[in-house]
Amino acid sequence: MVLLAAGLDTRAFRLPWPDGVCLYELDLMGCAAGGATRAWSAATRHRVEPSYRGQPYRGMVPPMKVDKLSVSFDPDLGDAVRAAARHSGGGVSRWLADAAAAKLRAEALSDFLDAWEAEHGSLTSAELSKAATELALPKPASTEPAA
Amino acid sequence: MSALVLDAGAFVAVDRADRAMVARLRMAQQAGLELRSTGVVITQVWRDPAGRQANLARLLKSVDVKAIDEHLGRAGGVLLGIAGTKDAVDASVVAVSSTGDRILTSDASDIGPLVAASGRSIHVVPC
Repeated sequence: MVLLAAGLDTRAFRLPWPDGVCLYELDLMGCAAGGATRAWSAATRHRVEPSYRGQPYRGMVPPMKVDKLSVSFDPDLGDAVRAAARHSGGGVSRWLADAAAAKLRAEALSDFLDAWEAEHGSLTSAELSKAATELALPKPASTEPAA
Repeated sequence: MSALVLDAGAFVAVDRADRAMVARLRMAQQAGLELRSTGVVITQVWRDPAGRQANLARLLKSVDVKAIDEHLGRAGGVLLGIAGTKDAVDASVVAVSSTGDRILTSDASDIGPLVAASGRSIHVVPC
């Protein structure tokens, strides 16, 4: 029996392995370190570090960098964020990261459009109205004086 | 939140400073639509590592570019099978679109059957 990415999993100790089972726990360096092989159950337990061409395998993907932030919320907002995160099926960190990324993209779009109009001239009401029709969106409020 | 999903033609139009295209982006912004696309669409339009596609580079900061993982890959493949078409990039665009979204494309005749295959109510806008 091989347990992939065993980490600190305790199945090796908890489950009633039948006599004669040879149990391998496979994980990266560090996770698999300190592998005591004491017989905790009927199974024979081995901790295995993967290797590639004789060298310890340290993973093809570099460790993911995580920037941990401490943020403060009004209690009601904090509750709303937790509820929204639960509703989305993810954690609070993921929900907040998605919300922050969306906010940054929205600000980038605003900056892009403002810079574009500064360089190429403001979009006219007629141009915006035509675009709104194409996209099936409400017509913009006119910014040009009535004829 | 609904999205304005950008096909290659939309990016090309921005890159050549097309006013009608930028007006669509402004209206999308005012309506609160987010911009979305896929990595393979970017492959179709990005050619310059030296920064000469400045408009495109600036616009990309505002686009949620979705990676096509196994789940989306399969979804796009199913759409191709139903629609009887072969363009994987078009399929990726429809696969990341949801009901209520708009797809901006220069290839509406190919996107249309994929949208129909998806069964979603998606507005296809030629550009």
